[in-house]
Amino acid sequence: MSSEVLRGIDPRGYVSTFIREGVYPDGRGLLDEQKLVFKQGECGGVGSSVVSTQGVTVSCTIEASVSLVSDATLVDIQIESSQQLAEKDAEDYNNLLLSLFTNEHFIRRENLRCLDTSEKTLPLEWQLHVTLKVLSLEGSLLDAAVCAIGAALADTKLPSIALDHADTDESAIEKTQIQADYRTVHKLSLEEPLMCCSFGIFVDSGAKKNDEILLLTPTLEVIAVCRSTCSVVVGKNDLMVLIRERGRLSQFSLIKKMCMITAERRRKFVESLRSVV
Amino acid sequence: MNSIQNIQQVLNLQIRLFIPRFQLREFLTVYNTLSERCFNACARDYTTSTLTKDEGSCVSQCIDKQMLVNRRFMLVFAEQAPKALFKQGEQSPTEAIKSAKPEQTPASQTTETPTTMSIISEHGFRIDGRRPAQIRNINTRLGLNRNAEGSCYLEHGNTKVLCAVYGPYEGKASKRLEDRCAIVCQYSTTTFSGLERKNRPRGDRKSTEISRLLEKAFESVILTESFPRSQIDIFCEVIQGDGSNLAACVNATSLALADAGIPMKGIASAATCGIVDAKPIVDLTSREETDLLPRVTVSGFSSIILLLHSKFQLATICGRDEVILVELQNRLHIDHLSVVMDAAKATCADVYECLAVVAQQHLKACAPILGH
Repeated sequence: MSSEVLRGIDPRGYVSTFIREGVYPDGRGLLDEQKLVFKQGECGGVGSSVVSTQGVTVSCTIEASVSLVSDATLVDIQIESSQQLAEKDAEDYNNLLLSLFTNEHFIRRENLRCLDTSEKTLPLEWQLHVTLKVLSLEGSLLDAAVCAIGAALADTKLPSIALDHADTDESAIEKTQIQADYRTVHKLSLEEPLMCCSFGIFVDSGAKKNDEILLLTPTLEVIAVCRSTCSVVVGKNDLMVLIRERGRLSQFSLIKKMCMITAERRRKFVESLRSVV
Repeated sequence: MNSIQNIQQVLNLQIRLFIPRFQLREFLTVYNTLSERCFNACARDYTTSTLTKDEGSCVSQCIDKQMLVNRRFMLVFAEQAPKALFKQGEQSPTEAIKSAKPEQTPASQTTETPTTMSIISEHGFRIDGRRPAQIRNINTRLGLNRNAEGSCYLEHGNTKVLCAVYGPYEGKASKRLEDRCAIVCQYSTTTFSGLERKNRPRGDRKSTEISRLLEKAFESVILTESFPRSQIDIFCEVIQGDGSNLAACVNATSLALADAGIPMKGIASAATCGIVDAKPIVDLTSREETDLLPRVTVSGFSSIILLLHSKFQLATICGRDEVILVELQNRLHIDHLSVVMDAAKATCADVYECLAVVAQQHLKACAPILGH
């Protein structure tokens, strides 16, 4: 009862009591990784996944439609509004995820060309509509969202397209000339999976030394008392594709440490995926 | 056989002699055209042999304008020429390099490509003549907008930003926070700010993203607890964008907030840094930004009491400077991170020196008004 009261009236004091001992309130170590569980093909669309990690559960559904070849963006993302997620934050996450697509970190644009039954490329492109639903939110959404999109893209199966339009015909392609053939389906060729880790920087004002303590994947309760937060996304060959820091941070070395941790976690993830396949 | 070799030698000699002559002729043509145009446009008083003050400023503006136009033409030409020279569907050399890039190892990704050669010359200079660690000129004017509490016009090379700060005032109830003040940023660009004309100045994805970044960055800088249940509005407009727009906006906003007298933990300074051939280059122009460079925008600040130049250097040694914004775009190898961060940190310190001098000068200019 007393701990609950302390938690309510002085959340910083409550959290710092645990962090001084090197653990989170749930008993996990400050740099301990939490397990990641995912399931593919359960939410409809041409590809889908449900990912649960660090208290966040996200479902991702991908719908596809055919369009003529153009310079327009081929992917749009919609994070469905939820009571737990503020509209501004949803917009922020949306922009971040979209930037990963536009910079071709998930999939290359040329891999979204429509194919016929003989795997020949057609003058048509697939447009992907990615819908993310937040089922529970007790930590950073970005970690789970990046994994969910990666898993859903890996699950995506697109039908072959039968195009009744000669190559030499210069007239515009009509809607009626395009037919989807579901007997043969193609999988998307993806880039190597991305790994996103969120970190918190906690400064214990009660301690003698005002050192910055690095926290891996903190919960929302801990994020609320952190001085700054940072999200790192790492791709293949240990290339960092996104770093986003909020709040104040004094030690530059912490950023490198965060990247190292994320790269290490990604390596483990890729190895486990290979062993499963 | 010998006669063919002799002919080739003669031709080579003639070409060697012709090139300097051709370059000199080109230079003289440009020089004479420029002189004539600016003379016709600016010279008004023919009674004296010297230029008047107005004529002098007109001539320098005219030359700047002509040089800028020439530079833009060159940039457009460099972009469009390969498309015109190579057939549709056929890869231009640049596209071939870009498409070949993913197959390269990370170490070789940033080395020995014509892209890097075009960014830094063999003599170690960039396209605009700067050294890799050199920032562009910074010009500022404070207090331009009389309706705003604080305002700043900042030129960072050819990037020109106007920033206005309103508040703190009692804002909308929906945005009101009980324990601190709400920071609301609006980032916009003029439709003519870039090489391509924009349809909408604000509200697009990029503008919204930068607005959020500015909000988050300045929530860490302003002493928001001093103004509970109130709101501060920050408006940033990029009049002309030539790279490092976000960094220029952070710098302009810092000065505008200082002009408004809003208490802050320090003056924030920001810089952009990229990496070419494993060497960092700072304060990127739009040309450098578009050439597939990984870039980091870092913003940091130092304590407000350490406004003086020498003390700031000490603060850097003592490690009192703090990061408030880190933004990475494109791919960057983990081994290059510390190099880029160190360069960005040093550049932030350089920019801070410039901003601190401006703030001090403005404070001195305001002292008689304030009665000190």
